[in-house]
Amino acid sequence: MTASIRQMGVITAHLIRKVAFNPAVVWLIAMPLVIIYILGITMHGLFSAEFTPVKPYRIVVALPEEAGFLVERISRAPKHFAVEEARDAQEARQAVFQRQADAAIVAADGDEPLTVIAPPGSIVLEMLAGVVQASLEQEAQQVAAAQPPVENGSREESDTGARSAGAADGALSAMPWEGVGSFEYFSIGLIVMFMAFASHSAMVHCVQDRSTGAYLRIRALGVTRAVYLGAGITSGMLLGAGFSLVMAVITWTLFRVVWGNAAAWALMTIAGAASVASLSFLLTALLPSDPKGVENAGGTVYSLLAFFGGSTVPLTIMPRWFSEIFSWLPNRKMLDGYLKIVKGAGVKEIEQELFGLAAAALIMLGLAWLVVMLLKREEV
Amino acid sequence: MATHAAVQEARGQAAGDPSIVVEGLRKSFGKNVAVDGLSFTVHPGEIFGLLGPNGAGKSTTLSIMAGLIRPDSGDVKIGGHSVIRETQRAQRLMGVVPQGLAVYEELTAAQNLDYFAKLRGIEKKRRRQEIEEILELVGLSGVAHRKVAQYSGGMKRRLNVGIGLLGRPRVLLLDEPTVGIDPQSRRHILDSVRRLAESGMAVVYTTHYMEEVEYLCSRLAIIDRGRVIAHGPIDEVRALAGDAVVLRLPFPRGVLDEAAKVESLQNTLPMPVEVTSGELRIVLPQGSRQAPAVIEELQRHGVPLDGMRLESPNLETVFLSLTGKALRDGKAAEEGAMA
Repeated sequence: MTASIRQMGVITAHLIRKVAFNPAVVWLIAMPLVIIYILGITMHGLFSAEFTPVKPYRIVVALPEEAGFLVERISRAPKHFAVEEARDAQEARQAVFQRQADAAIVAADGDEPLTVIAPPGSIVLEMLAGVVQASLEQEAQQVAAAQPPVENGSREESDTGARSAGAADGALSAMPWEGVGSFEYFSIGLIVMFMAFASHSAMVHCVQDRSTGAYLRIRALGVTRAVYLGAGITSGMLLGAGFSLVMAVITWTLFRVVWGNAAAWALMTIAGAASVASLSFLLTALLPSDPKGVENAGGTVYSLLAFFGGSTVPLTIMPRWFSEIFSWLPNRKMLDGYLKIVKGAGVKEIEQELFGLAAAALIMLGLAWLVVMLLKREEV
Repeated sequence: MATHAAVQEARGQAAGDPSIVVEGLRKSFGKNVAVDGLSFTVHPGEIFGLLGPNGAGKSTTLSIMAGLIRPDSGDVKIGGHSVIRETQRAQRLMGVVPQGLAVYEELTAAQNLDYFAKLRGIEKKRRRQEIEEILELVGLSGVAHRKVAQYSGGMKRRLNVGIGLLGRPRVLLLDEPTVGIDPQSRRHILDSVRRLAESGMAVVYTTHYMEEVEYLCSRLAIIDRGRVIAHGPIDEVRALAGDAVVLRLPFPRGVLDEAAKVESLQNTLPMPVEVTSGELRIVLPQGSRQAPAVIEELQRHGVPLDGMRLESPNLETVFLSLTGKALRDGKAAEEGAMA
């Protein structure tokens, strides 16, 4: 047992040294910093409460008279919206479809609910939906009558991806990225993404050991397979966590990202590092003798995860269904967890993310071990 | 033999007790039988050769002996300990030199040795002393603190061998340790292996270079497709060729329609015919008296006879006469020629 721990320590230290002293580590740190800077600057407007578009958005409305208050409210922000009236709902829709307007608000006579029409995930949709919802609520409070001016129900028009006004504030306000600045968001997103690359590099070295014969040599020195693989995973975890720590300090220094509760951050980092190291272990188990293949597979998988998990394209501009269906991804759990932490959450508030990451790590470890036992069953 | 006995006594081992016992080893991967009933013993101070072409099962045998792969049947005992039941005890007695360059190029030779010595569990004080000894033995003392990436192929191979010597093993398993290196480094490695055996180490040396086996080994097994086709002291194995000689002549590509010509010769001549690296080899089992008839047949096929020569029997002759094919494939032969 003591010998195994010693051996695991030696291999872990060696793998960490191999990665940490590699010139590629400069790329690993410099690349996300550059991306954070560029995205932080260019996407600043998306995350700012004082956002104003270059030109006011063209809004076409087709509303009954009793909804006139809405037109009046929207017109109060001339820097944001330029309102035109359409003859009917059909004309308003056409204006959006033909790109003569950026968005439309329609409501037919009778019981048909109020609908905002705009391209899915667009800024104008987010802004307009918020304003409409706020106006409806304010009006409802003022007119304490049985019949509201327009129905408070809402629906989405799937062909244009329009979002209902009613959806704007309720659920969205609970989203972790609400109220976070662009530098904070992208610092978290890019750290989550590149943490996986850092962790994966340790596992790539394990596969290289197999192809050079170093693995045979190490095993012949009395190192068991479990100890060797354990050292690989531990190295991956430590490298991932170490990378996060270094990047947290740099982003705090350069971009003034305040990382919040230290205990919550540490737990989230450990759980996140465990999950990415486990995923890397699964990839190496599937391609045990192909270092280049493992490297490329890692690059592809982690880039896709970064996209779907909101690291590279902010979830603020993605359709709601997109952020919902990928919310189970481990890197998305990390993103949500860190976003909550920078907004002031403690350990208790991120319990859900921590459990999710721990479960993901355990499942992937189990799967990877199963694959190892199947593909390398002749090994002792 | 006197030296051999003295070494055995010095090591406190009863004379005649082998350091390595391989018994009925068999291993298959699916339908492919990699090792098929391999048995041999190696005594302290002895270098045992495992000779065979690429894919013969040499590396699989070594992986089983190193305790990495479990055989389907049979056993390997190192110093009396089964690698199956007492893997770690057996491993403590052996050093392994893999076929690949199992060294870390971003580290220096000293750092490489230190890393593997730590894994072996050699304590700090002894570690330093051993590393210095090994660096001296493999001739890398002067460049011990230079990164391995800056070494020549031969120096890397020497380091590869050196790492296998950590912990002063009683048994050394070498898997083609001289592939693709310069003659000087090859000679250095071969001489080092000889010296190690003289100090009492039992060595298993796998290769497809028959000249290395002839230089180093007292006994050998020739294996092909996992099966032993010849086994015993080197002179006895060589004698299996009987009166056979090999007729060799250059067979440059492009001059002739190689494949068709060889196929026609193989169909016509009642003896093994092989083309390797631009050379035609024909085994004459009954010696040179068969040469005139063969030459006549070659002329009839339009094969140019310039540079033709007859070669005395050697291990390659044995392999060729027993299997009908060359010991080295084209690529391996080219590597050997380059070295």
